[in-house]
Amino acid sequence: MDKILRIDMGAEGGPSLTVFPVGEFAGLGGRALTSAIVSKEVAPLCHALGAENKLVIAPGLLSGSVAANSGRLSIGCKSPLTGGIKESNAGGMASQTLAKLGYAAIVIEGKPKDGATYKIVINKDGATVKADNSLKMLGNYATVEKLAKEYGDKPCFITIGPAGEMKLSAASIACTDMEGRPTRHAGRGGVGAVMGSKGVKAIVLDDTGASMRAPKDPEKFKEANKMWVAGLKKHPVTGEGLAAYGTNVLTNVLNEAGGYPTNNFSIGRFEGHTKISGETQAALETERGGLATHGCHKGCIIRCSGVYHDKNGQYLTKQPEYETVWAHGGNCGIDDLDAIAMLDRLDDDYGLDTIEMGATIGVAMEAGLAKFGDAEAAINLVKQVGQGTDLGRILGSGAAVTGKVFGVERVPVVKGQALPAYDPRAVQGIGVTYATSTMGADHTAGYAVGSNILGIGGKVDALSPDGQVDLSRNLQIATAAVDSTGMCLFIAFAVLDQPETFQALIDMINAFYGLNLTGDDVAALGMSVLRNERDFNTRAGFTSAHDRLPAFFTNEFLPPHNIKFKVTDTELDSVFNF
Amino acid sequence: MKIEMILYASLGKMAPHKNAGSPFQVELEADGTVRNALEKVEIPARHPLIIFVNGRHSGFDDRLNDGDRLAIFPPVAGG
Repeated sequence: MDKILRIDMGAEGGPSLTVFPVGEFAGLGGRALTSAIVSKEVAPLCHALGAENKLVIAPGLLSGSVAANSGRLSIGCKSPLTGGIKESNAGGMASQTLAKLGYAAIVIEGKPKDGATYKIVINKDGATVKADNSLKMLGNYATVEKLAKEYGDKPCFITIGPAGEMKLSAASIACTDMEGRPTRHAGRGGVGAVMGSKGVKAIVLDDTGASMRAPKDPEKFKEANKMWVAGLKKHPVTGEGLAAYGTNVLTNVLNEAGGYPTNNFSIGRFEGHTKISGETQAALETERGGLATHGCHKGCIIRCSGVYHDKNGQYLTKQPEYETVWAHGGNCGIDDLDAIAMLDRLDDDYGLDTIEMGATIGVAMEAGLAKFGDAEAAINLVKQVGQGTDLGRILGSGAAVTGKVFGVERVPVVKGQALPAYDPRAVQGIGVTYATSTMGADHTAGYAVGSNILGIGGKVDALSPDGQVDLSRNLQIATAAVDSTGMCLFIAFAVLDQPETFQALIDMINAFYGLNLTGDDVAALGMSVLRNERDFNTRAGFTSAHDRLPAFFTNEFLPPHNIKFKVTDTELDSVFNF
Repeated sequence: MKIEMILYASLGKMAPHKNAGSPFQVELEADGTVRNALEKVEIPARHPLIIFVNGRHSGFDDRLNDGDRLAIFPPVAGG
């Protein structure tokens, strides 16, 4: 990973490719690298869909090695959804493959003048860009099927669907999984629209002939990875809980806690929760011949994913995640797992962020476009996005735009990005993260749900504002560092509870790169990432006024606890006091 | 007194009806605690468990009241 591939899609005479040494960005990976490049090279006031924006795709520091769970890919740019910096990351096979091919990053710049649809092909011999208009407006599934016919089923593919080509702000970027399906998405912030604006439909990554990345100190690395694997297997969540029920085990937990946003964040419990819970989902998947346990990339030992079959036992989609089941389920009053799985499939195929789309349908239901609980209407609304109707384009632009167009007051967004599956009134710590994250509302940016609800990484009372700012700050710093390693964020459950597992992670990085980092250095890395991102957002026009939740969270009581968000503005403004 | 108990995820098999997520009634002494309720379903009162009483985090020695809703999870997480 000592080189950066830069592709100027707007070059005279057609796209040009240049390979540069990693240079000043040496030692950075994943989010640290995407945010460093975007912060340094992208004009903060540029139009996110213009030639000045850049799409940066980077594997993590340990991706492409044998380190367990090191296969997350970071994708950065200026976000068309938030107007700020964006790093959205995904599982699937792309990160390991790109790292094995030796690239620290691909930077896609400029904008083609010819309106053609392009594909980028990267293998051990180099990279090429070709126009391929036969891919235009295909869904992600049809796109990868066509690419697999041409390039075989060995490569992995990074693609966008029609939503990205239409440059809709909820558009995602899909990465294929171990089975070659386009199911793992960099979902948040409209990164798919930026890829679409560059005219790039697909990136083909073929690592045939490439080796696993070799550590500087193989013996120490092997030993550290052994400790690492043992730590992940030992922790009850990473070793057992996530594999058995998947992420959707949280439906019942958040419902019990009274923090499960229902009917567009109007109440904190959903009557139909057991019908769509992880327990029910896992049993149904097993009964129909799908899989309740499945890893999204080679080297994953947590295996929180699954495979969802329809009533006829045919593959429909990957196991919809908790966030998706909530967004299209309880948030819309829908208690039908088959309908939710269909919505997940449509989102994946059109290339849409499931959180943004579920929140958007919730807002549309509040506006009266459909009734809460009407699954068929929800499916039809999402289909309109894929068809590119006028209404579909509004919905595909996200919850904030939809709320504005239809005059809705209760619109759950921060910095224009929809809130995920935890009501910040009943989980006050995650409210601090939603409000202050550089990314807009993003649960992964500082997962305070662990300490507020799950008893992981200590305990902080979910219903009290006390201690939430410190909790969120520390988690945001740690997360920015983890997002730079290529590690799946779920490793944090073990790392937060087991000091020896955290040490094993540091030891792996040190052995791999010949370094002597300490825990303090890891925190310093996280802080530097956040500083880069905050700096970009400030130059893009963001102020403390953007670090706030929508007013209804401080004005409206949430049943059953009848509680409001109580962290003060002054406290929120102290999150980034470093 | 009677409380409503719900066991989730892998603890469901410890419920009288063996179902995760379905409530059942448990009869306790007037000053019964979470620990006493766990004894009734033969779940050892040792961490890690996630315990909610009426939607609020609780501990093993917290007192219960007639009509309380006690929900117990094994260590789980997602996101």
